[in-house]
Amino acid sequence: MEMIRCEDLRKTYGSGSSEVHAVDGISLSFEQGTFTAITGKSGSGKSTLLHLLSGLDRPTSGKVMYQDNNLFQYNDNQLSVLRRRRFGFVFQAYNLVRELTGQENILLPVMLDNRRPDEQYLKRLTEMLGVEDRLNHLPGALSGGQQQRICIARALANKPSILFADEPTGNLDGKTGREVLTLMRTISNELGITMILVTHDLGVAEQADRIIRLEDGKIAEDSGAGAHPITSDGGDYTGRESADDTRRGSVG
Amino acid sequence: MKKLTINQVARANIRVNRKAYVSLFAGILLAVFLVTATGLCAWGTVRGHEEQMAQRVGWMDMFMLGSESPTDDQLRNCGFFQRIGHVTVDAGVKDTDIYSGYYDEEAGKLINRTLTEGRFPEKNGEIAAEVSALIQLGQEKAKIGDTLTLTMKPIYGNEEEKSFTLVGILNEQSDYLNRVIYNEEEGMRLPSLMVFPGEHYGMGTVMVHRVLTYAPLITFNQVMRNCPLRYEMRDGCFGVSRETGEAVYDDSGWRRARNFASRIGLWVVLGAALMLSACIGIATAMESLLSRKTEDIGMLRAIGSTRRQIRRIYGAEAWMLTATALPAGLILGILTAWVISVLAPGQVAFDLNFWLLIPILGVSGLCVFAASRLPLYHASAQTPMGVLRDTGMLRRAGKIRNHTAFRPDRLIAGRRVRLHPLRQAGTAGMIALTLFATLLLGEVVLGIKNQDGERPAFSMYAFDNSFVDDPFSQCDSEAEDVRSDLKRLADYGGISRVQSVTSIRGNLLMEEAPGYFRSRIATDKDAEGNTLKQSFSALGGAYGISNEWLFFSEGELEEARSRIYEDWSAGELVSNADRLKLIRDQLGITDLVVPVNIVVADPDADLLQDNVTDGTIDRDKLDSGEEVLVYAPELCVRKQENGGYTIETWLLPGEIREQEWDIVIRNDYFKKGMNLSLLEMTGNRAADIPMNDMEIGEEWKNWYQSMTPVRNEVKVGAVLSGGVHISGAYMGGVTVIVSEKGARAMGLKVPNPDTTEIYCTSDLTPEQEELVKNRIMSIAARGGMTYENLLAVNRARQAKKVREILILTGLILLFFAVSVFMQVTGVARQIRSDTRMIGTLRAVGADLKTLVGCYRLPVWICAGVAMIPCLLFYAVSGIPALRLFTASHPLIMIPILAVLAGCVALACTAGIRGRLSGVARQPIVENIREL
Repeated sequence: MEMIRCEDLRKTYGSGSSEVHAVDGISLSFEQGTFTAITGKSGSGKSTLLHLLSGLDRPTSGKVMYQDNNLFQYNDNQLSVLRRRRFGFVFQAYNLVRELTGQENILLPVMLDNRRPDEQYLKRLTEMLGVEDRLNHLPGALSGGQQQRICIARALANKPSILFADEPTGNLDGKTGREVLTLMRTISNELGITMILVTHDLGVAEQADRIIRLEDGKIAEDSGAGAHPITSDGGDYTGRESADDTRRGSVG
Repeated sequence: MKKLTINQVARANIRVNRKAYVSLFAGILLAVFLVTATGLCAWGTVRGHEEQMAQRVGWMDMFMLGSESPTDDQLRNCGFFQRIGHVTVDAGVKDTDIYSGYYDEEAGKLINRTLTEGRFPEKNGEIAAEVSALIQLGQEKAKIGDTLTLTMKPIYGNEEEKSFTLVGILNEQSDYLNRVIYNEEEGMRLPSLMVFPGEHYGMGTVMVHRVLTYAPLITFNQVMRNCPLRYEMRDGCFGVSRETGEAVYDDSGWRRARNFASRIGLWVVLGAALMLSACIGIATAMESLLSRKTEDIGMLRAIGSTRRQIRRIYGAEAWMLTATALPAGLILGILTAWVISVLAPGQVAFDLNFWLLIPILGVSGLCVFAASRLPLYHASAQTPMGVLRDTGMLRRAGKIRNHTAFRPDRLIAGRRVRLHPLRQAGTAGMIALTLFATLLLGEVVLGIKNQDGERPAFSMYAFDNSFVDDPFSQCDSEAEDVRSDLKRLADYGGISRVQSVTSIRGNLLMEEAPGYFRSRIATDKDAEGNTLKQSFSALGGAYGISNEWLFFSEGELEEARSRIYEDWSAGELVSNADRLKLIRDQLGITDLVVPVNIVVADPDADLLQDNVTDGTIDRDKLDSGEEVLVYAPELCVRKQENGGYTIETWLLPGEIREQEWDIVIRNDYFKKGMNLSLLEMTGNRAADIPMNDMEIGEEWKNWYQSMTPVRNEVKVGAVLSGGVHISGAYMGGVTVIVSEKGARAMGLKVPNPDTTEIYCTSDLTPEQEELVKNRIMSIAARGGMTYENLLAVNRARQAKKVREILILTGLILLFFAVSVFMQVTGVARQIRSDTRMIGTLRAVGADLKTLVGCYRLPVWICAGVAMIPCLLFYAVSGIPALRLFTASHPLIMIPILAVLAGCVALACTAGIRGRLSGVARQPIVENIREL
């Protein structure tokens, strides 16, 4: 069953000679419960595509249809409700609210929705992510890996339909990165969550059901349901990302 | 490669990120502005007062009336005085205490006579006058060039009718100084009319007074205690208070200090509070700015910058902003001081003294330096990683409690307040100032409201021309009887009521004095161990007049006679006993004659009802002279710990708790229905009755024999006690109260009223007021009375209040705007550094309301915290002993303060919402990418 799709999606920055087509007429569809990795070189438009799909950014043109509704026809409040109930986000820079403890950060989307937290579910989630003993700490007192796990727990706390992850392992070492990804995969499979992940690490991308490679804002390759692992161009973009992606681990 | 200086780095920082420096710039601008404005206003208050005093009393420090001893040379050589001028009084206006005179050159300089209009007299026949003198003369409407025809009485000469041309109106001066002078001798006043020296009169002499200035560092009290000429100077010698512009007997340093402090105290407190607030504003702006630069600081520390270099880089930014804010702050402050001086003329002068700018600049610099140092030290004192991880916040986080159910906006806001408690201190201080200014405004407005009750529109006072230094008798009044005219005033349009009160000296005739009249003696020791005796009696009331002579035996009297020159009380005893004998002989009675105060008034019986302890007030019997009321106070005395006595006469019998008092004299004598034998003795004024004479000789015998005794047998209708208040009447001790009609029926000789209060209806028109005023002036002139137009006084007071209200309202608006500005710019700065958090919150589903909630709570906490010192101050100011506020202290001010604090918070919230709406309109991804 189709969960989300985009049609002729375009995002252009600048104008005239300095015009840049970050996303250039992309049309894609994502099935429920699948794990899709979007990959490509730096500046290929993969993060922009994720932001447009998740409604974090507005396209220059085109549509994003979630359950047959165009996201960009929603007003700000409707989009807020959608994000807190149906979407989960994992950021490369974790983006935890630094005044809130780990537990409070995890509970944030649930509390914004005025719902009672599913304590058993959250307990299991934090145990699976291995952060149950770090819940009382502020983000500043946590390591990068711990912050990323808290961020993943926050993204999954409201049992979303779609989990968007932007380079979730980008700031983690290889072993921790793999662990984190495995956890995301496991939980998503269990809950039937559609996972769309942006990465430049082909090792990470290979774990996906489907890999989409972007180049200059266009789809260069789409493996469909994970049938064709992408190995061209040397196979790994690690280390080619711009230095400005190295950000602090919390916000506020 | 060119060398990069710290100043260049600082300048580049400011240029690149101007927006981030707005709050810091505003804080510094505010500090300079506030220091300038309050500094100039405090200085202006001092200068304004000096100018006012220079107009009122010139530069003289002291004046001596009449006496030729000591001589000018003695005064100059004693070392206590510097300059001496002479004031010559040549004549007085008949039946008034207004005198004309002129000055020598030195006195002219010292007195600093100024004119509000016209010029000084330049030849004989010209005159300049103070307005109060013209009013007393019934010439209020006189204009420059008018001819005044006055009956003048040269000193010790004969009356002459003289015509003068009015050439100038003098500033009010002598009225203030003459107020405390009670010398009936001719010419013993400072002149309020100025004539050309040598104005010619047929017969008479002149009286020369001297005005003096002290040598440096000398005061009036030092002259009176240490000057070798002090005994010769004692009579007619007055100090001039440079604080009040009035003549004084005592000019102590603490009183001057208190007056000075009360004058500039408001500015000092206001200035200190404003500066503190501005400093906190600068400190919080600086801290917030530095907190945005944590990564830069961490980086600089990591590449080897010393703490000092960090402080210099960011400190240089503060100084550069100070240099930029200085001219604007100075100009704004100067303009504000000028506006205040225009709004409060006479109270705050505008005096832009160049030298004053130096301390102003110094204090401004000190404010910026002190306020920026702490955040700079704080920021530079951390390790590079400490800066990056904000370990300071983590340390404070030890206090926080983990929540499992919460409202995200409230939790984030609350946690921020907990983790950064001083971030909002500047705004809280400014809101507190807004509320303080509101309290002051409330004081002023409520003060006006409290005056709304019935108050007299005009009051008239008689000169004490029936006074003679004798407790038993009084002179017939020499002034024309205007009592009936005063009564008829009530028929004028706009007049609601005329109330007169006259105190006359009467006597009670009785076989023997009751115990209630007996004085009680309290003894105390002075610092040198001498025994001090103090006498208290119900007859004298709170003034403690001795009545021991009523109870002395013949033997004791003779013993006292031998001590009359050493012991003042023995002298009083003997002279009273001798006078008593003379009166008995003259009247052929053996009764004891006890002097008692008789008040002739028509008080409202309803108002006195609560004070009736025995009997009833029967108006008809009072008016027929059949009955009188007797005020018989219960006198309570308690020795104070620091010396002196507390004397209370205003307690009702049932209110007295004996154990609280050392002496209680209860009325066990006066009862309703008892007969009183009243005696009034009056006679024509005899010029040869000596004053303060202990020995009762022939003059006194003649005086008593010449008098007419009026005896009445009356009944006591009601006995009054407690706090009886009859406006204009002295009710210190035992007092017999009779009505006007009753006094007439009893044949008492009642002089013109001591006090007459004329009440007007609320719809009094200006024309009616003018008519009434003219009528009152005419009555006052004939009756030897002075009058005061309280409506005009009240109008002047109201105008002053309006100016105060304008100033305070301006201050409230200013503080309100600054509070909102500080809060909104502070939060805007915060929002800029929180953009990523805002993006994250939006990404996880927060709407605008939630975002506003994250910043709203500290604003309300600020408003709430600001209420605390104001409420405490309000509670403390309500303590009567402190007398911080004169107006009533109603609870309505508390909700008003709360509403105002709420308004500040709402205005701030609206500003914050506006800022956040702008951020929320951006795509979330731009928020997150902001860094």
